Amino acid sequence: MFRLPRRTLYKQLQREHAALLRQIPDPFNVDQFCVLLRRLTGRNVVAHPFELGRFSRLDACGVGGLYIRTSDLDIIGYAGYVPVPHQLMMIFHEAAHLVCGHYREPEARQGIAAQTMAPSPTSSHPMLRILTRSIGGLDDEAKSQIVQFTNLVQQTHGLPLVAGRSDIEAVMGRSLRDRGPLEKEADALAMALGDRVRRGGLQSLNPAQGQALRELAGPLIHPYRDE
Amino acid sequence: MSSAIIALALVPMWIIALLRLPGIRRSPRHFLIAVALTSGCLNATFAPQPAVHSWLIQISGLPGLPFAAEMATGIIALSAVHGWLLMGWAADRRESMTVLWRTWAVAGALIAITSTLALTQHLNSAFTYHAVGHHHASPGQMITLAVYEGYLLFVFVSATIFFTLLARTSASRLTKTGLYLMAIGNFGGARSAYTLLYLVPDALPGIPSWPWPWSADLAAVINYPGYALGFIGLALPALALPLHWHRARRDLRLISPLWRDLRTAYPSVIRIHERLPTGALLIAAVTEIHDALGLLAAWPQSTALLAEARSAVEAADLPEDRLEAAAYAAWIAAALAQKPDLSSEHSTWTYGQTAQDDIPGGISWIAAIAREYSAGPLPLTSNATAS
Repeated sequence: MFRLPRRTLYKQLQREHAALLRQIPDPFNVDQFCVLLRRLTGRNVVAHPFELGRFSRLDACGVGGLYIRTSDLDIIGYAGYVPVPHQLMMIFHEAAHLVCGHYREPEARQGIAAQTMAPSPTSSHPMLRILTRSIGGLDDEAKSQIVQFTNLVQQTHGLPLVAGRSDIEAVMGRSLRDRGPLEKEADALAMALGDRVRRGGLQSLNPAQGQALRELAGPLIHPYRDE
Repeated sequence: MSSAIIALALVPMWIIALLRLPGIRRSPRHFLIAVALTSGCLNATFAPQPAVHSWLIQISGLPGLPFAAEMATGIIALSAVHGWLLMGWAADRRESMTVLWRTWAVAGALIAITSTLALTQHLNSAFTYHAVGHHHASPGQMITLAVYEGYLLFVFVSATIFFTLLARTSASRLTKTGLYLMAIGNFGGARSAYTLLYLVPDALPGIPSWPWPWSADLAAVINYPGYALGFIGLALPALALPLHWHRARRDLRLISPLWRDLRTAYPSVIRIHERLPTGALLIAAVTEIHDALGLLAAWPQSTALLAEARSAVEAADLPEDRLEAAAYAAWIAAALAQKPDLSSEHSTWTYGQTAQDDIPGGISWIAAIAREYSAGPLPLTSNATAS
């Protein structure tokens, strides 16, 4: 009754990441989730929200979430001003990029992912290639906002700033236009994580940002208040 | 009376154990739970059956066999509970398996030592036992008994602490109730505590005995209600699965018309094409609706349309709890009717004030909009719509 037919991507990911799904904090807490990712991946993982209006170019380009890998940190960036379920899905999508190993060079990965990340003949730098292939629709302003955001998080955690894009090892973004296999894989795992949290509870996710949104978002959130 | 209590406890225990048995392949912890339940049932069924004990002795010629079998199933059950709890704290599979092997090494050694002693007639509770909770035997046998009862008590106490802590942190009411029942069910460990308490004066005759006599009837049945409570507690959280599935089906049915129209108008929002289970499908629907509404919100006409929709719902004199959802539904319907090209920009949007900031709250909010949308949103006919 509750079983899926075998061999779907969703089912495969559920099996591969059973430890993550089993241990997801219940009720969900984003800080504990990062601690769990740190335990599972051995990397320093932090989740940091975009402030409302500060990275507006990324928002305008439809990038709600970012996974950024530097030498010190794995950063999960998400729009902290959208409805909480959507924030969660962004966090899960970016976490899926991390746990699925999408940041790796194509030669180091297997099957579906290796095909997607095949080297582009027009780019030579690995970071640029990943950036281009995963969130290819971004203009220079959006890309420079990614570097600004990275530096903001690095600074918050007392880590050295990155000089530019070449210091970032990988960037994956949840955008509305990229529907490659890597994105599908991240989406499928995000759905599994989302379903787990739907069945559990939510302890904390950026409550201050949620409040700020209510104050700042204007008519979409205060429909009956006089403007 | 005691037979009736035992039978009443055993029936639900066996039903729950058999229902959990098919799930043993799902994970190591599922396997351990199934082992704990099955061997717990075997132990609880076998222990109060003197006729079966006599039959075993008769066919094997080993007077210690019933005790060895009872003790082995008991230790297997409790060590499975112990391993299951410890694995909850382990970070990954490798660590989990290490924890499991260590737990089972301890349990295996305990079973091997006590079984050997029992089968060679050096340890037999039937012979050393002379009153409820009291044993007279050699110092070696008393030490072995102390280790055995101490292990049982340790698992009972640590399980009580674990279950209580887990219950305090659990958000689900069913899980919380189940865990508290499992913690309460460990009161059967009192028998081990009592036996341990009396082992010292029993082993050393110079020490005065404790002045707390124990009823033989109570001692015979005390574990059974506790076991039954623990089994029922373990089964309770599983009830959440059909409940969540039913809610997901209901919400999905509500959301589907809106979701289908948004998907048809803007196929680019579709994230997953393959078949998904109900819960994940609901999450996919909500996610895609969010994405589509983010695109719609960036459409320059949206602000005017939404303002007009709010005026329309106020004029329609709808109940207050429907106002926001009806306005959003009217806005979406009017926007979809024009099917604007949304490929350029994206904008954030958010829920109305009444929506709760969590996944069920978000689903309820979207479902409320979808309900208004399906029921026929208010038509908007002003200049904003026409433009």
